[in-house]
Amino acid sequence: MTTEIIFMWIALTFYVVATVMFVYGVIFLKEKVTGRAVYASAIGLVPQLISLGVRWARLGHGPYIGYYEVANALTLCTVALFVIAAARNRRLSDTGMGIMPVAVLLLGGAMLASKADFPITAGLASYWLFIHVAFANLSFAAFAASFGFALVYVIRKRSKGKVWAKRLEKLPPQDVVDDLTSRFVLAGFLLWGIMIVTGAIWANESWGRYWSWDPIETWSLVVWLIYAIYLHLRFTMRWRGERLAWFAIFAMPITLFCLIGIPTVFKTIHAGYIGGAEG
Amino acid sequence: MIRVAWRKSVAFLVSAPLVVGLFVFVGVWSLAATFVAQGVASSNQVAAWARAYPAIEPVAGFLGLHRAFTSHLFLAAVCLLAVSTAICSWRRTRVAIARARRLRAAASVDARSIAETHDLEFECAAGLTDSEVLSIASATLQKLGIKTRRSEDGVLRAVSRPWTIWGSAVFHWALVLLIATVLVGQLMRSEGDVSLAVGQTKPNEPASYSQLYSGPLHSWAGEHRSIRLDAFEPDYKTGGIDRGAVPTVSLLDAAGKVLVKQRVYQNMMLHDGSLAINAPGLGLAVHIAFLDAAGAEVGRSILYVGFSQTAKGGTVPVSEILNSDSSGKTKMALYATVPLEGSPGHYNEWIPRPPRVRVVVASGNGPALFDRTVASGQTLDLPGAGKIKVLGVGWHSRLSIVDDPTIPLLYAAMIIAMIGLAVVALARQRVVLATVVTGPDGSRLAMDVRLWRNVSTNRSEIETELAKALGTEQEERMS
Repeated sequence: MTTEIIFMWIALTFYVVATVMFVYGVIFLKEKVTGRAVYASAIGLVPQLISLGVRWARLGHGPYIGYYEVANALTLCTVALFVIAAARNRRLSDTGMGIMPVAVLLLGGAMLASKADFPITAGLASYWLFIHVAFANLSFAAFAASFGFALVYVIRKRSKGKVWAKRLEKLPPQDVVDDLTSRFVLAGFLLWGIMIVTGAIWANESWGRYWSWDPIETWSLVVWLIYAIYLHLRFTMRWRGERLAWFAIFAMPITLFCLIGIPTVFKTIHAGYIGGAEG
Repeated sequence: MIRVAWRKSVAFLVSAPLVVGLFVFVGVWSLAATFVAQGVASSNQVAAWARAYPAIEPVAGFLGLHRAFTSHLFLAAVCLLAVSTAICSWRRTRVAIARARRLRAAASVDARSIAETHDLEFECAAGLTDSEVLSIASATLQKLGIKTRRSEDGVLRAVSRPWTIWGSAVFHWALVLLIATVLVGQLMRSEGDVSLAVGQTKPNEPASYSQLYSGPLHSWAGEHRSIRLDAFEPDYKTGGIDRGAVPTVSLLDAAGKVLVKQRVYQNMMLHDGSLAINAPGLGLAVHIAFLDAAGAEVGRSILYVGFSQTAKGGTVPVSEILNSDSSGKTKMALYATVPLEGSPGHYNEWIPRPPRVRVVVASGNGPALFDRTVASGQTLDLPGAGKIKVLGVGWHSRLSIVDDPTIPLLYAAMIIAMIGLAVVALARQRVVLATVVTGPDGSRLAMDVRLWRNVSTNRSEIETELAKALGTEQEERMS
């Protein structure tokens, strides 16, 4: 087992421990435990960064290619965003119960996947790769955060006998959580939009076509439309509360499928980044 | 009557249910299209898909899902969305103008005006001075993420700058510009493939293209440039990366002067104005000479050959030379392939040494009249078509050439849209004004609060926290 893999297992262990601590802390009303779970999440970032740094130095490129690297980068951004949000506003710590399981599943899946080294190919050798992928990762992190907020909103709302409402009472009031969900959706919508724009510019500079209705392009547009619907429901039709929270919850897995699932299902010209069949 | 109809139409076009419905339609349609083979009905892909899914094919065919993104239904939805977005942009512009006025006014409003027109009022605990009330209010608002500034006349102010409210209008106008540019781009664009053997030059005109889409507004009249393939490196490496087969391409002006010359590979297209050249394909080129009865050369031509791991011999003809009669009917077709070393699925896609060329002459209705494999330098007597000499085999490159003058506008629209969206997502849009009003029954904090977007709190939280902080839970709404 190489150093980078050992460090990645350490990171995953921290994330699993953090997840368990969040669940335990929330269920048994242990505020200190949830506080420490945020620290555990933050500490987990260190071995993950070291592992990715070692791999970057060894391969000469960032975590862009292959499921292992892509899922790793998504996890890193998601956990980092959560830790920053929780550090800035301690009241948000309990949302880790919704966000950290996503990180654990992603990184766990990456650890079970092939960790083969993929060199940068001629098609990927461009500075646009870094920009395009960075915005994909950041937007996913924002959508994952909105998923976490929406999840705790729904749990509190549907709490029978107010048990879960009591357990999650440290969080801001429901209307503030509702606002936070939509603000992270808006941030993700912006970042996803930039991802699409940078991808279109790169495609035009590389292939002479800014849009070719490739499955991954189409699904990216559909994800953008889904969140555009969310934003119109929120800001134009004045939807609030549970039904909008459900919308954010169901939208996130579609985003995840778009980022890592498409190349395994469809023939796509983007398959190179995840090791699927090129169309 | 007309005015009423117009207003109703506008109200319908900007209604949120319509916009959401259009988003849903475009999204579902696009998703469905990713599961259905795209192309004309006669294409191999569509035919194979139809055989694989016989139960769904009639529905997909009826809906036009095989050409999903050029179907009238899809284009109509996109056009309706564009019109709706345009009207919506206009409305957002009017809102932005009104809010910008309000922000400018709020930036200079004095204590007396706030005392007269506020919308929130808080009773203050007895004994607090005006200065203490403002300090408590400032600290409470800061705790809620609203940083205020206190002016000399005793006003707490947190007022966003006027540009912050333009994000949504700018974003929506940029989307309109983007959709319009894409549509105009399809009319002005030309895109196609030109095959060139090493050393060959072709003018950039429709006749040079093996396949071409030329929009109805695209003009070839002023186009006098030519394209030349200077060199071909079948295995080019740079920066530690294998770039594959890389041609060196020159773009020449009408006088033959080189305008641009460079190696063309992925992420390294050749650009000249709105023209962009990419090199997505390669193959072999069979150079032949036409000879008269005495054996003298009377002309030369090139037959392009493509690689195919499934074809017998590993290559397929890409071009042919046609011999037609006076009515334009094809009498004979001459084409060539180059048998490669290897076996099906494992052909060595390289020029064989020594190269041999299979020359085929077919009649107008298909059957081969002549089929012979010869070595380079050999002469052949073709039935009814004179003599040819195979001069040699080299490489050819299939260049993809795009001429789209709308690209800079398209980029601009995309960048402006993202800047507008960034302002929407990140810039705070708020007016928070507060001052102390002293009356016969004590001091009150008068506030004017407008929280439009990206504020860290909400109105009810402000009401609760300030009421607590100022010593009374009771607050009174004025409006």
